[in-house]
Amino acid sequence: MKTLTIPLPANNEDEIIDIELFVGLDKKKYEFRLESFLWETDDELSKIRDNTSISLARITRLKKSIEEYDKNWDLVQIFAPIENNNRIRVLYRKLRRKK
Amino acid sequence: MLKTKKLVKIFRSDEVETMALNNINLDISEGEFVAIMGPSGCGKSTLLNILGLLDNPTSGELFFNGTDVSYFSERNRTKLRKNNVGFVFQSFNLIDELSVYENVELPLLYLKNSKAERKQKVMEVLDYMQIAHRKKHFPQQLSGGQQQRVAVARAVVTNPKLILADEPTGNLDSANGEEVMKLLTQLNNNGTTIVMVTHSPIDADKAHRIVQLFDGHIVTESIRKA
Amino acid sequence: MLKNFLKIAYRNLFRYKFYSIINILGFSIGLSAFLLAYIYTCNSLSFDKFHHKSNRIYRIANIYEKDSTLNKYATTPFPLSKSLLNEYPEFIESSFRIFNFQEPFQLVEYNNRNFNEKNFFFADSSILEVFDFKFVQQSKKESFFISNSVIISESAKEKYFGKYNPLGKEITVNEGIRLKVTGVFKDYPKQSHLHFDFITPISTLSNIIGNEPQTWLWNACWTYVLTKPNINKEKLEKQLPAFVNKYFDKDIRNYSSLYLQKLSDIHLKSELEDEIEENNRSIYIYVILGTSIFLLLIAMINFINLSIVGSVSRIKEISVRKVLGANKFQLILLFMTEAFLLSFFSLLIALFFVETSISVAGKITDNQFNIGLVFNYNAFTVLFSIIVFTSIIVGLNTGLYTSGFSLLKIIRNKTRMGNLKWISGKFLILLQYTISLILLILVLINFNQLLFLKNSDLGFNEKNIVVIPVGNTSLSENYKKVKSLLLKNKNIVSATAMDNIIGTKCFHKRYFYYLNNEKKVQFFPEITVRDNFLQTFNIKILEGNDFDNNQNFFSDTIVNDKIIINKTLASSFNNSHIKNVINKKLFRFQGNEKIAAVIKDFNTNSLHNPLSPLVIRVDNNENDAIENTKYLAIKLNENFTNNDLKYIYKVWRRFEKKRPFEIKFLSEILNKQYKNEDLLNFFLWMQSLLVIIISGLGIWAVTYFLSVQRTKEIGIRKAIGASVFDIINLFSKDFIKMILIANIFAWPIAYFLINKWLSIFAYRVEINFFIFLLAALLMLFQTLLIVWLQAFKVSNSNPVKALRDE
Repeated sequence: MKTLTIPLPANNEDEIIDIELFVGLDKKKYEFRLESFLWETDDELSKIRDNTSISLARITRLKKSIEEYDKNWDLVQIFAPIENNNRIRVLYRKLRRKK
Repeated sequence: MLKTKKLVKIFRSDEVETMALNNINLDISEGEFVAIMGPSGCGKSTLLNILGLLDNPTSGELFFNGTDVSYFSERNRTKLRKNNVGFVFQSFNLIDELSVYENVELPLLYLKNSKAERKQKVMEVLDYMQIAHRKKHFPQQLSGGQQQRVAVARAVVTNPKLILADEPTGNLDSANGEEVMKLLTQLNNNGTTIVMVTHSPIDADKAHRIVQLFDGHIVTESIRKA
Repeated sequence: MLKNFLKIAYRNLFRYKFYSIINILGFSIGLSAFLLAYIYTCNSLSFDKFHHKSNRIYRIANIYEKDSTLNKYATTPFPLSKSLLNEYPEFIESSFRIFNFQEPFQLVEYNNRNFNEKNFFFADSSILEVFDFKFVQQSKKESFFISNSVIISESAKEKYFGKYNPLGKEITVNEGIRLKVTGVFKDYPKQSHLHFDFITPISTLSNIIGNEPQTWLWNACWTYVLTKPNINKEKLEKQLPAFVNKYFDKDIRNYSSLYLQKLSDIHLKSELEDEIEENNRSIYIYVILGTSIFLLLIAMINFINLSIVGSVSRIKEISVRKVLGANKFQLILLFMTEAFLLSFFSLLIALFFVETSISVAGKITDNQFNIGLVFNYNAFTVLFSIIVFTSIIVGLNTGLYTSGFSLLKIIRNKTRMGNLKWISGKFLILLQYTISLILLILVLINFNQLLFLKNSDLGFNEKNIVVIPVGNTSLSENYKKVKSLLLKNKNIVSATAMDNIIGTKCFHKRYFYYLNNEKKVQFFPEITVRDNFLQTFNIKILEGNDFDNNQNFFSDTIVNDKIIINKTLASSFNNSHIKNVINKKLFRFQGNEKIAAVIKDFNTNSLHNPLSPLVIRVDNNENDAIENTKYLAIKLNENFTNNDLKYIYKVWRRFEKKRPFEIKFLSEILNKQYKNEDLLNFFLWMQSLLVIIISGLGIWAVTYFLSVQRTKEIGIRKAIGASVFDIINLFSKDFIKMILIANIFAWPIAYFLINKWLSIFAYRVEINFFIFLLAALLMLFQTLLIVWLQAFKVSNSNPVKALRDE
């Protein structure tokens, strides 16, 4: 099995979801975090309101969030945003220290 | 090997204009295994098509082995493609009316190889893909995994320097998908540059480098293997 | 249910506009061509049927056959008619003769209007009981149709009398005969083997030539009989040998026979000499009808193909129907209804087109066409049955084909019908190609034959020679003067005269000769000529000498006893060497003629007939010579201009103050003998053009369909490296293969048909295999042009569009 799909409990869009995975008898630990970045907000980027600029603003904010994120975490996947939502979900995986 | 500078692709249809790719700057070196990830509709396939010389950018530049091929005519792109690029598609895209052997032989026909040459190369690659025993069968008679093996065989029979894979495991179950990824990794180990589009993080993990594409922009890149 | 189908069918017609339009276009063209050919056929078959007694009317045909001579005449001796009536009153109700002096026309004058009239006849009054005449004006019984009276057609009345009443007025014929008009009748329709403008009783002849000729040796007139009702014509024919034995001259009775020719057979089935007007041949009519049926078949095949092709683009709709419960039968019915609607529209278009073009068609075929004929000949019924038949075939084919669509496969989007693998489609296209090829080969060969007929060397020179009819004119009386005047013109090289136009026909005359000391008698074709005949026409002398052309033929002191024969006749007399016949006796009754020369054979008739023996003679006696000077032939040199023709006209006017001047080039006269072949050729070319158009439409639609179906495959191939040429090749491969196979079938069939066809000509062209090749190349060119254009368009499209996975 390579992937597992589990139903997430109801949550607010801005809530971060942490997942800890233990594998095997020796309980190897894997950590995942489903982040929620605010990418639509009122700031200096939201001055011009045409489609291209909105999109560009969002990308810029997202890029910034990703750049500034904790370097201990590795970006796994960016999920398709839900319409009219200010936030976008991004999945991170904690980097495992090599023994 | 492949380099893009400020690549832009806009699709126009009647009144609507869609900017599929916006200011893409990408550098892919020879022997690299690059995965392009992102949600559906973010422009992954479009980027792949341009890199694979199936399409021209609207603006910006594309360099193939140092040559500016951005606005090559269809004829020249075909020539370049023929000799350098192999494709693996999500839905296999085999030709139903041709047998396995004939499907794999097709690129060699277009390269005007002699019959003997073709036979040798096709059999070699069919053996490698472990599908030689089915060479007279038709695509409809094969399972999904077997079809994809044939597609990969077709992609590599010309010994291309570059292989472009568009969601290669998308239509396969995990066992078969794993096999295809193993094949690709093997090819890459032998020196073939691979650019793969996927939205499976597991597949992406096999690559050297993961490029995250979102809404036509490169949002971030991460290195997997050193 | 049916109404529902019709409504849906009607809507579908508009939804799938592309296929509907191509279908309607092709089918309406096929229907129009068929309709025109059908009308033409019915028209030709209906000749002479307007007489209400027509199925009891027969013409007497007169055959003379001895050794190698076979002559079939439409004409009979003068006394035959009355004698037949006397002998067989239980068989024959009535009989009449028609006579016109065997002249091409008579001069008719009234009140300073004068014209050469070719439809002027002497006839027995019984003609009015046998043939139908509708009189619009008629004198009292006592004066109607008596000696020295004449009845005229309505158009003749218009021509000479305008709006004035012609009854009682006198016309002058040939500047001597006065005839009083006592009736006006409606013109015969074009569908008649003869037409009358002037009819005067035979009794009028007594004022011109004295008593009626009583000889049984001169086939002077046409004889028609009306049998009694319920009489079997075979019974009468069985009596005729006895009749011949009793009445015919002893020299010919053992070699002559008579038979009855049905009136309605004359136009198409008569192969006799001395016809009143030119006829046609039934085989030509049937060829035209046959090829138009071929054309219709091709259109029908198109229809089927297009319907199947169109159905594939409607896969989703049809599957939905199936899911909702439609069974095979209902699908078939649906397609039949749609096909019926399409063909009905095509029919309307075809009718409209035929209606507008029918006047043009009429002019070309020299027949009176009118749209009313459509109603006359059950054309509607025929057409309707055609479209019903077509709808059934198309509906069946398409319904069966689509009921084979696997629902499951469609849902999984796995249906691929992107090539010509559907069996019926391939077979139909192959059939279409085969038929088209056969047609093309036939058309080309026929054209070849026509050119051959018109350009063959006839054995005499026809270039730059003009012919003027001078029978019964003062030019024939003053031949020498006329000739010397003509020769004064530096562009006139020579002149001569003859009793029939060379290369068109000959009279047959009785000749005697000795074979092994036995006196033999035979009728030979003969031309009576004046001086310089052989020179004017560049006829080569093989042995002996020409008539002495400087000698005065009519001198009392020198008796001209020379006769010239052709090689065929000479060879039949003496097989060892033709020069042995020189000086042998060959004479007419009470004559002394000897053979003076043997000439190279030339064609005395149209090339429908083989070479025949020929005698050329000159008259000793001036009166006879004048009588036999019917046509003047004048040879001009290459530099002649219109002024020279005007000069000839001036000479004519000097001798004939009133008669209209008729002048024609010999080559024109000779070519006119192939009028029917010309017409056939024209028809066939038109049909081959239509074949190319219709089949072209079909190929285009199929190619378009294939390119749409194979879009994805083409995208894949291009991604893999296919060039434009590779894609074009992909498309053409299948078609080229089919054309090659079609050729394999078509060539032997065409060869067989051509052999049959050419065997009806005495002179035929060699079957040239280059023509077979040409037809194949034409077909190839047409197909490749269409396929390549479409393939080129497709191959230039962006592969990305095709490869999109959605």
